[in-house]
Amino acid sequence: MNPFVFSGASNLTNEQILTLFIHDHNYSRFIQSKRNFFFWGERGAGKTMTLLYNKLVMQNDVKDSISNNSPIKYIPVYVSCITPLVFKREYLLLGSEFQASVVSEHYLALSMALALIDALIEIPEILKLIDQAELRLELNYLLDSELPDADNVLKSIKLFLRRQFIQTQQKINSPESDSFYQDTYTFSSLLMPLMDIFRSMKMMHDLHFIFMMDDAHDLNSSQRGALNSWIAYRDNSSFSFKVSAAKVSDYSLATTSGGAILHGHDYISINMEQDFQNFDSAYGKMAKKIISKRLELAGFPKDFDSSCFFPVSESLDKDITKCKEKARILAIEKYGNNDSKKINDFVYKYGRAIYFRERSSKANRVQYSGLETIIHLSSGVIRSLLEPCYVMYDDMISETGSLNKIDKIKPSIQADVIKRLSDRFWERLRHGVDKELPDCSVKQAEQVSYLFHALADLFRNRLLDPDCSEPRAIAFTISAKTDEIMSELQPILNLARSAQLLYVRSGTAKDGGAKEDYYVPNRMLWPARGLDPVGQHARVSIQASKLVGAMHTGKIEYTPQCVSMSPSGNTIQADMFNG
Amino acid sequence: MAKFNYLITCAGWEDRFLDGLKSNIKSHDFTKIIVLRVNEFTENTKANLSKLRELLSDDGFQEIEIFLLDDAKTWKILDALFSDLAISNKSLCIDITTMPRFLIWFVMHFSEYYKNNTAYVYFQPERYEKCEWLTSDTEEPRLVFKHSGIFLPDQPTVLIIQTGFDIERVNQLIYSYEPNKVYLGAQVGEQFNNAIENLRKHKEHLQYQEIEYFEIDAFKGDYGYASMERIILDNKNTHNIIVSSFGPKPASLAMFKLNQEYPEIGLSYVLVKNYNDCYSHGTDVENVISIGLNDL
Repeated sequence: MNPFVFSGASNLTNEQILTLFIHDHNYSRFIQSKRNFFFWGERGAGKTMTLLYNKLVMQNDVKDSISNNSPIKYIPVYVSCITPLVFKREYLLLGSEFQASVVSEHYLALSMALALIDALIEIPEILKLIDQAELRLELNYLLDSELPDADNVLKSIKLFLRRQFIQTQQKINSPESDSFYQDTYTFSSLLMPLMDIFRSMKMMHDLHFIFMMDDAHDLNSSQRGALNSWIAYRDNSSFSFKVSAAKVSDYSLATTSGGAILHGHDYISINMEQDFQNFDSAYGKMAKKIISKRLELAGFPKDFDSSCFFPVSESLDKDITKCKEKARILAIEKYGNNDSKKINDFVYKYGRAIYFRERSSKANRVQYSGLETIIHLSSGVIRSLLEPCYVMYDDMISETGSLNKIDKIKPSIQADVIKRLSDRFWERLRHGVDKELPDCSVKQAEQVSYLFHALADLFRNRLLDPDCSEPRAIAFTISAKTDEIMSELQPILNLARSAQLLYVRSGTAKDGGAKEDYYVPNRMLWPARGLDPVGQHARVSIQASKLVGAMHTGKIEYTPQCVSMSPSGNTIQADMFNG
Repeated sequence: MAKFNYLITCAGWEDRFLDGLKSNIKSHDFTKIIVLRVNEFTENTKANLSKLRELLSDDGFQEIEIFLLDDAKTWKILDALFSDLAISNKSLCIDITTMPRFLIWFVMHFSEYYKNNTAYVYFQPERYEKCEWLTSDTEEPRLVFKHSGIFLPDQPTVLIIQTGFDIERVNQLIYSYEPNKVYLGAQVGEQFNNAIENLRKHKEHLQYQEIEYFEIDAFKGDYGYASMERIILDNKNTHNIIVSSFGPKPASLAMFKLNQEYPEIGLSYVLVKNYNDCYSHGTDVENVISIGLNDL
């Protein structure tokens, strides 16, 4: 099996989750609390894996509590919001919005109840604490129905809930346009009494249900409103919500009553995407651990250095080392021999830039390779880290014809895969992202494409300009924003984000130290354009109007920069984009 | 010459719309002709509709405006059309050639609901043109009203897709429904062989989903019914099943029939706002495909 398999976490077994998860980045402190949390992150950022891992850990804690005869604190309830049920739209045929929202909430409440019962069934030891006859009696009364027979009462409830799903859909799918299911459930009529019943049992009086609502951005607007209303419920003693969602621009925090949930008050936000600049960043360390863990599963020793599995091309390594040395000599000429910090900064900024700058235009493509490069190419998204590794491993198997012979991925294969995957991004832009994104017009797709071509040219011009003070910057901030300009620019940026061509990060602004959003194009774009995906700790400030211009022309004017040396040796650079 | 109470067709910009209509009129006797016109394609279909008026005069047919994006409104318009004109227990000829798939399924729903006896006809073009793109400007995948399946949230999802040339559409369904397996039905013959040969490319494009190919003949036999039924039977007790069609349209009739047989499966479609209007030319009026649901 390819150790870098990167299918969704929900397709992994419990054992695989426990084995593959990197424990140092578990968010357990937040998930195992009684507060409501939102975990924001793009697809592939590890949201599902984090929730599922914590679910398993908490389930084991429950088992321990039962065996130690101590009270159970938490029951984790994992609710996947991406089921085909959320795509059902018959409610649109109903005359009233109220009926539509009632049916939507009914589906969600049933899904959560089923997930709650599944969570209990997954801990068979819990049956020891339950008086099944009494519970059956109470549930028959609550649900106004005789529970079907099954091995145990939990399975009976499960059968009842599944039957509810089927009956609701049969009724709603009946051919009459306005068919409506009357016997609907809500959070208050189903979930809360259900939780109360379990909390009345021995060892469960202080029980807290943790509802892990995964991919909540897929809920429809009525369901999202309902969920927000439950989050706004102030008493968190018996339940809380840990919501994972992609931070899409239209994620509404409105409740059904017309209010909105407030950060800090009703919930706490956790951003699961972290930017990174180097191997030693938190993300860089985690990425290395992920690769090592996967290699361990493939039979490599535990302490195996994953960098050895993805060696850098010898010629690339040699050439970059030479260029760094060149930069060091230049730095010493400028700053003298004693200021090692300035010299190191200069080498960091210009060493790799010199390599890219001095390459002959007739030279072959850069042999992009090495674990550090792969990590940078992932743009901080785990799935994007595993994908190239998966393809490289697959290609290596094709070349060697045997699994046993793979002790490393040849740099030439790494470079070829990186080239293919990078080309694919530009191919997507050439074909138009309207082909893959809903609600994107041909014109908007063209504007997205123009924008990225302009950014590529801008970053390349900067990289090749010996006077540019931040030549390897491949992130940007937007300045001189006005409502009018942003109303044109923002939809294009949003589409680029949906296509995972662009990521938004939050960082400290230069002026005043306040937080500001900055934009990082997917780094996998750059190898096809001969750029350095490793980047540097810097952002280019671009006026919003220039970006709008780029959307229409595919160009951002670049004026070579004037970098002069101050008497202290600091570089002074005119910020052309801020005028 | 067969006698029908109604011919229901959909205005299109392809040659096949008018050629097919002429061929239908020549071959059969219709009491009334209903032409559905998609509001969003008014400009594209203007020329063909003027020619239609020259051919039939304004009294010769009834034009009904329907809507692509507001499909709930379209559903209600069709519901009203069938009930107002009492199109019930009648004989219908429905030309699906230029109907978007959602409209095929909507019209089939009302035709069946009102117990009509229906023949579905389909005209192939004389030739297809190799285009860089076929469709653009799409909406999120949608489940067909009343044929949206019966799903359980604790089951994984499989997709059964009849593929066409648009691999991006498949990608879009995968992105939305996150299935754990995709069954791709490719047309028998050259297209199927190409699909297998391109397996690696498709896998890369489709983000390494678990893909299984199956053969489908959308132009004859049971139009893919049996091959799709086999997959449904293998999965229906353990998975939510969503079925979608991007290939030749007769297979969408088989899908509708499968949904009648197995209401657990949901029919899904992707609304397309922009088509490449050069992709087909001419009309093969010699080999009309005529299908009754009972034949499947």
